[in-house]
Amino acid sequence: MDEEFDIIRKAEEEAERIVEDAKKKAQLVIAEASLRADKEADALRKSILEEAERKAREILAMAEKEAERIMRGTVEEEAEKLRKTARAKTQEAVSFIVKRVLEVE
Amino acid sequence: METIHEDTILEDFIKRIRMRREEEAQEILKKAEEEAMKIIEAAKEEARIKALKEAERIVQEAESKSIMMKRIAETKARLTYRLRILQEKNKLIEAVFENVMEFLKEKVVPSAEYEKILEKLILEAAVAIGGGELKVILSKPCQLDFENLAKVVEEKTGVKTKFETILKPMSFIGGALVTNKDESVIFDNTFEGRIKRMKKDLIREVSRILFQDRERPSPKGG
Repeated sequence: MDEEFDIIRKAEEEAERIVEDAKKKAQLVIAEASLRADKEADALRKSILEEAERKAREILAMAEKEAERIMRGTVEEEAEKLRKTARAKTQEAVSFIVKRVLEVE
Repeated sequence: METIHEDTILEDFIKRIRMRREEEAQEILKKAEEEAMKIIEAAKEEARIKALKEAERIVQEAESKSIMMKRIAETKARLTYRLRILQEKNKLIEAVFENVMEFLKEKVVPSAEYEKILEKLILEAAVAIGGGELKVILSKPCQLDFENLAKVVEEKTGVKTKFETILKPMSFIGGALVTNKDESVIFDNTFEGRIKRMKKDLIREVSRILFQDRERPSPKGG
């Protein structure tokens, strides 16, 4: 009878060890999960921010192009138009000044 | 026979104990794995929310910067445009004045009418000074009757007038510089002097003629 109890006790102890092992393993799984969570969260954050920064760079590059286009403008064409109009009127302007310079009251 | 049966019962009992504990262990591990997944998902979700907020801020900042860049570019472009047009207008106006000087030098000074013009210019200056002993500085010799001219000045000012002519070739294109005896009063009636005095008004008028507008370029050197 004692022998049987001993066998049962040993079996229970062994079974208890299995549960204890499982608990330790579970703790390890959770601890590892925390580490993995940090890594995965960091990777996710990194990828979202990289995408945002890429988008931001794209926006700024477009703005730069647009700014360049605005800066180029049509000023030289306008200056040429001005020269053309002025050339046609230069003689009139010269005559006007000469008349005023020689005019004595 | 009895012993064999008892052994089997004991084995079964032990087996059940083991199975129950193994099931319990499996359950613990399963829960731990589920918990682990939850931890990972929660961390990722939290990171995702934070990162999206930060991402939104980054994009918004870029958008604001881009709007600012465009505004600055537009303002710069407008200023550059106005400055360039103004520079062009000033250049064209200056070219007119250069043409005027050339015309006076090449066409007016050598012409038969020049001495009449010169006479009027000297008379105007002499009267403005108030007559008296006057010096007339000329850039080229002339045939004017200065005695007669002095009489006209006397008539207009009531002051006895006498002219002394001084020739300073190449110092100006045409017209005359008239001074009193000690040169304390100078009336610059050279072409250059007259243009200089009238330049502001002339620029306004020339600008109107050349560009048909009212915008007045800033006078350059006068």
